[in-house]
Amino acid sequence: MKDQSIRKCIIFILLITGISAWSPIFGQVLTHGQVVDIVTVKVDPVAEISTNGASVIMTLTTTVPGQGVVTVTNSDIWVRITSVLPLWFLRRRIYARLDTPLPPGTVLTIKPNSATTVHGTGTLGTPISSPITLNYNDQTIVSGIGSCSTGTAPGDGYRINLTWKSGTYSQIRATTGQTVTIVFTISIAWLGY
Amino acid sequence: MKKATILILFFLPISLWSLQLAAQTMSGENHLVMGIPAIALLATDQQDISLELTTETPGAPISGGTGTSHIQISSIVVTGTTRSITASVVGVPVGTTLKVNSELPTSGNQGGTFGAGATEVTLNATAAPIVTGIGSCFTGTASNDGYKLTYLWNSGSINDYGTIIQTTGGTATVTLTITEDL
Repeated sequence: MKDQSIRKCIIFILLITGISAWSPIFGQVLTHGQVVDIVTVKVDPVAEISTNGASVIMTLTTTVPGQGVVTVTNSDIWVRITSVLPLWFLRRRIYARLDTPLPPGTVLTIKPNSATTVHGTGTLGTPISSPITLNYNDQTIVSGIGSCSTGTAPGDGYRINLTWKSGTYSQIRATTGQTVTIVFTISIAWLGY
Repeated sequence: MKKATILILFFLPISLWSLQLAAQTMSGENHLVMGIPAIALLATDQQDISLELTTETPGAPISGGTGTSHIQISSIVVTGTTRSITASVVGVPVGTTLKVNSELPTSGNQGGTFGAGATEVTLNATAAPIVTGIGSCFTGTASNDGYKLTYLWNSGSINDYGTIIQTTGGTATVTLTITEDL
């Protein structure tokens, strides 16, 4: 009796998992009752992300004696995604982090715009309302993303607003062309997160 | 049956969690080229300073020529280097001495590493350091921002007192320079 219960339980779990992970739609095509084709349609979960690969060059300087280096901004980067959710009650998020050090004594903040809707469709999520300071930890910049695609043309996606400014001034040192990498990640989250 | 229900409740979240993992986490990246050029900018408040040497006490030497100004700088240094501000002067009347005190910025509009000031540095035609050990900093741009300089003009060596002559409206020019320390 116990074994039967456990067996039923395992079958139930496998059933649930199978149905959830792989939700095929079965259809039948009949032609004059002679031939029967079974067409299986499968939509896989998708989470793709890329940037427009913009070449961003930023310079922190001043020409006024007594003035600190002047804050610079850049909005050349666009992030594009394609998302198909595996389950209706899940959502995705876009995270951003630094992968290489910033020039010392400086701070880089990020704030995305809402995704453009010229070619963007679906549930494109909500960007953070205030800029956040980038560090080595993944931090949410867009949440509540459902199944959607942003488009791939120039001007499609989430426009990324970067602000680079002085932080601890005494730590700033002259540097020529230091390459800094920002990593954008799309991942899953529960609905409401 | 109760155990079976517990098992379902236990395994169901795990199954769903495995779906999450199967649902992929993807990353893309973008590169930024970030540059900060070395900066060494200096300005003064460019106010003419009027100094006068005299005395009203019979038997006392002439004295009392003091005045102040401010130096404002912006400095970004290369790693491992510091800067100094030097001062030199031409046009100081014969038999007199011009000295200067320098104080670090305190107005609240400044930031960074300001180095160290100096006291009673005698100025002459050869540049002498009046602030040393400057790192990356800015002093502010308002009228009282920056390093405060106090000029002290007095009679010079007692032996030279006899060379002092009356003068009106003579001009001495102090040249201030920010330089890399070697």
